[in-house]
Amino acid sequence: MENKLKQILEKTKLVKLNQQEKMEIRKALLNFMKIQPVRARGILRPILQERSILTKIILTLKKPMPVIAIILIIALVGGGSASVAAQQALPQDILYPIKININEKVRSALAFSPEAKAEIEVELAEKRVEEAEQLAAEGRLTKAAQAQVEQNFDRHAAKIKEKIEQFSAQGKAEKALELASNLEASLKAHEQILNQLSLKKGNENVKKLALEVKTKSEEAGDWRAEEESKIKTGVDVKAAVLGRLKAVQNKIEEVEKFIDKAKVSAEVKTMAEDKLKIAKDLKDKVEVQIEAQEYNEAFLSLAEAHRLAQEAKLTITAEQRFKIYLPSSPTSSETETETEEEKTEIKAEEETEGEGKIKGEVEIEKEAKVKGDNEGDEGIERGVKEKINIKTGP
Amino acid sequence: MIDPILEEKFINWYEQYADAIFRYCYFRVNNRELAKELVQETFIRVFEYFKKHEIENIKPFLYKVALNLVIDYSRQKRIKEISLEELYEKQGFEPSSSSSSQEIINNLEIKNILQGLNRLKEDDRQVMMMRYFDGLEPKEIAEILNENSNIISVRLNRAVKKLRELLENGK
Repeated sequence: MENKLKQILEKTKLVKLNQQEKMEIRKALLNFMKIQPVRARGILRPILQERSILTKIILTLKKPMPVIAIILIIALVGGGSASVAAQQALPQDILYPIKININEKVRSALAFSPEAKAEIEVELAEKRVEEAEQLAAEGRLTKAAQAQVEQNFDRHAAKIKEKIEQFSAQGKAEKALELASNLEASLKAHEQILNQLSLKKGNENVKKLALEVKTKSEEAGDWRAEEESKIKTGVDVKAAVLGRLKAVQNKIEEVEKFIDKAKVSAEVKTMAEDKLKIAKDLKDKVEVQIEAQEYNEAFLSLAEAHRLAQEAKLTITAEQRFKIYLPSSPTSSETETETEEEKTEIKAEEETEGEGKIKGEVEIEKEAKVKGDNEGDEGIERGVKEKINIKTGP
Repeated sequence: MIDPILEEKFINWYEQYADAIFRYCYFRVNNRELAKELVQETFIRVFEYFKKHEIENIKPFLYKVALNLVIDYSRQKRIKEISLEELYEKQGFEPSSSSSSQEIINNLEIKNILQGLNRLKEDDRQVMMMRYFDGLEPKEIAEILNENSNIISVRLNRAVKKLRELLENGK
């Protein structure tokens, strides 16, 4: 009988999936895997797998500098002080490759949900633009530096686009829309900054960069519009608009707090507050539009309100970083040689006309001035901290 | 972050074991379409695990997952009979006009064995099928069922003996 049982085994082996069935299941599995790709099983894994990182660093250094490379490697292995220092590095700096290849990749690897990863990409794309601005403000925006920034920006943008498509395919249209909107709002606000910078510095490269950022913001705008149109044809338009409204509302509140805490001149503060006021008014308008079921208009107003809120925030950070005003106020044409006492005097005069509560701010401002040159850096750090809070917040 | 090495590894497992898992499911749920669904579900479940953990020995792991899915299905709808249909459809099983008398007898005997298997106790039938339908070694069966391999060998011997008795009494 064992013989017969073995014969059964021979016959059962003939029972199998046919070629087409096997392909169909394979396809279904691959689709499933695409939506839920294999994630890194540990924090270090992606870093270890990418063996070329150190090679990359060495290659990025224009001339082979083995001593520096070795020092870097030692510093990295022994406590990461180089990577801390690298955090402030700008394109063309020696530590810059460490910043973007190690520090930021670790951050991205630490974020586990696709949503968090996508948000980090937006943040990093924005950081690239900020770096370009910083270089421009310091008059160091060479063609090579610009090319480097742009290449890295495009890398983030491609990833963001990929995420937008992924979310969209998974039916997370609102998330896709939010991503595109965030990127657009942020780029549009930076476009403003760069325009101001180019007026001030008269640098051709800065002007070009402003144009580049404009193109990119328009591209992001197209993505946003595309996601919006998808939502508009969907079943639950109202829920989607309400979702956006909530997001913009959060953004406005966040910027409000940011402005409130910021240590900048009352003038800049007022300017930011004015912008935020327009954003708020637009947001209120959206509520009416939703009631009237004018969803197209509501989406437009929301995008505008979001951009204005972001711009209000950048008005502050731009002042902190570069001492430029957004947009240039009539007084900003005054020469930079103007002493600080004079400035305070002007402000004091303005304040006697204005509300009494601003007095407190003058004191804060003076305090900030005592701190001296570090203020700019602190401002950036504050900005970063603020951002981190926001990311972990809602 | 997509890890192409791991994904390729997984797809290779599919290529290697899809038919075996299909066979396993098919002879237990008795329905080709359902068996295909179970194959897909098995691999999806394994993939979800594989995303987070290393799998050392994939073959028994796949069978374990398939076994649980079949059990889940069986709870909803009880399945008793082993499917003979597909075996008979396959060339060489159904006695044809050109078959020699030896072949016909042979096929009848196989048919008897299958019917005998249907009459075995659940536990015995399970190990017999794993051994003679899926071609799994006693050691592998033990791993899938979380048993000692000696226990499985003993159970297999006992089941073969019972089956022989059933067939002899049946004649």
